[in-house]
Amino acid sequence: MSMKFTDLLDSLRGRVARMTALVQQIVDQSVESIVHLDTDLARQAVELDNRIDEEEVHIEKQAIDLLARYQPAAGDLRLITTIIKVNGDFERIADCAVNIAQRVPLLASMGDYLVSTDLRLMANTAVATLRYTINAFNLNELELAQQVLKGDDVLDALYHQIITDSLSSLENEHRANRDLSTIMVAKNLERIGDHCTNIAEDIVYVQSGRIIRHLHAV
Amino acid sequence: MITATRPAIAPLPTPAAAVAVPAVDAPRTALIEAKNVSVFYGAVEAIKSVSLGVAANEVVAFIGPSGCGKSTFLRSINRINDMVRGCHMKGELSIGGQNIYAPGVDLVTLRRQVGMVFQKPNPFPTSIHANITYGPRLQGVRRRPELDAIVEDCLRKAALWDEVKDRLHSSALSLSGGQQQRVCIARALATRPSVLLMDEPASALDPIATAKIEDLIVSLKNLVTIIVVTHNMHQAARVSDRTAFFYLGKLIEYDETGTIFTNPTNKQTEEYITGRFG
Repeated sequence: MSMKFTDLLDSLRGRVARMTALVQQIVDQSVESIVHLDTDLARQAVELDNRIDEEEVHIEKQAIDLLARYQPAAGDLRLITTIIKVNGDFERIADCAVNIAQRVPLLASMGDYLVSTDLRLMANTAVATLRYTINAFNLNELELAQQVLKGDDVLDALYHQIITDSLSSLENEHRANRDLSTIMVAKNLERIGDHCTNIAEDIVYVQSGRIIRHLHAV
Repeated sequence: MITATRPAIAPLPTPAAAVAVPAVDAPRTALIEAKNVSVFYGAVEAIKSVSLGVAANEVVAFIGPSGCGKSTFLRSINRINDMVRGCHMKGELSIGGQNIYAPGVDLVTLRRQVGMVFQKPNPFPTSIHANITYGPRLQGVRRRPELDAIVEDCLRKAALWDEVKDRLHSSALSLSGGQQQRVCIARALATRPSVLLMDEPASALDPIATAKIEDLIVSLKNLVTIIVVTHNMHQAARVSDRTAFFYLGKLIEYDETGTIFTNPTNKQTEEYITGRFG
């Protein structure tokens, strides 16, 4: 295969790396905005999503173009097909961040909303798990992929704790509105963990050719 | 298709001392098995202790850079290398359990059983009909209806019948390159081989003719075991069940084609099929 192909593949990887930086930025912003009820930061996060959507489409086109023109094999094939898959997961993570940021104006208007300890912990865990995911993907580090799975377990546990705690509040309308928002935020943080897990499993495929989906282990 | 009514071809007389290779009409369960096969051109060891097995009715692709020995190994399966001065081999190569290099093996019978198609289409400068009937005539088939039946059967199997049925007595050289190659395949099939060796059978053809040859390889594997040497890795990926990667006379990796092209074990295989060397 010509040098042109390897150049194009490097270019595609670079583009994915830039997109992952944007995804990390949007998740950082949305989490920060919910913790501090910062409506300006929330708006910035929502606006950033447009760029990520455009990047997703560019990456997909570039990857499909490489498949069509060069018919790559082996490690190259695994990498490009995985890029197409994780590209979608990263874009969905950005959508989760937008969903979280869009809750900020409502919660800020309530005046008495305080982020619970569990939600704050979930937010920090989601940010850290995403960071592990991005580094694992861009640096080909399987050990970090293991950390991603652990992070997802923590997010799942916290999410269920928040749901349980919120059920008792549903009889009080004001608290129900507040806790519903909390659940929605928690749900999106939990989904970020799920997408990170998908990406971690795909990283294992790129590295080893093993498909570990549904095995719940790296 | 007229397979069911096709008359049996009389076997070619073999010397009394000849070791019989499996009959062409034997059940298609024969295996090709190489054990520590080395092939030498004089002092040069072109193939270095290669061992591999090919199951009946599978398509195996040999890939590797030029000079890696894949064609040499292919040609050792019907002993065409015997005609190269100074060429000799070590090890054991058997078809259907019979060592084809054992003393007394009849080469005519062997090559009837192991057909071959070359890179450049090489039809005889005679009619299409005469090309196909050449082998059966040598085997003693004389009756015109039998020969006609063989021609139709083989041309159908070679996916060429509909294109040439109205000009069977025209020169085979008047056909296009792709059609000529299919005449050669039909000619090879006429002796009812159990193995078909193909040495870059589509490398001289345009993409449409290449696609027809590839379709043909896939459809013919119900009839014969096929080994195809190709420089076109995508072709190997499309047509073969298993792929063998040769490099510098050694068999580096041999596995399911899907595995070779998605997750090869050997680094050299990976680098070759991803175009990073070779």
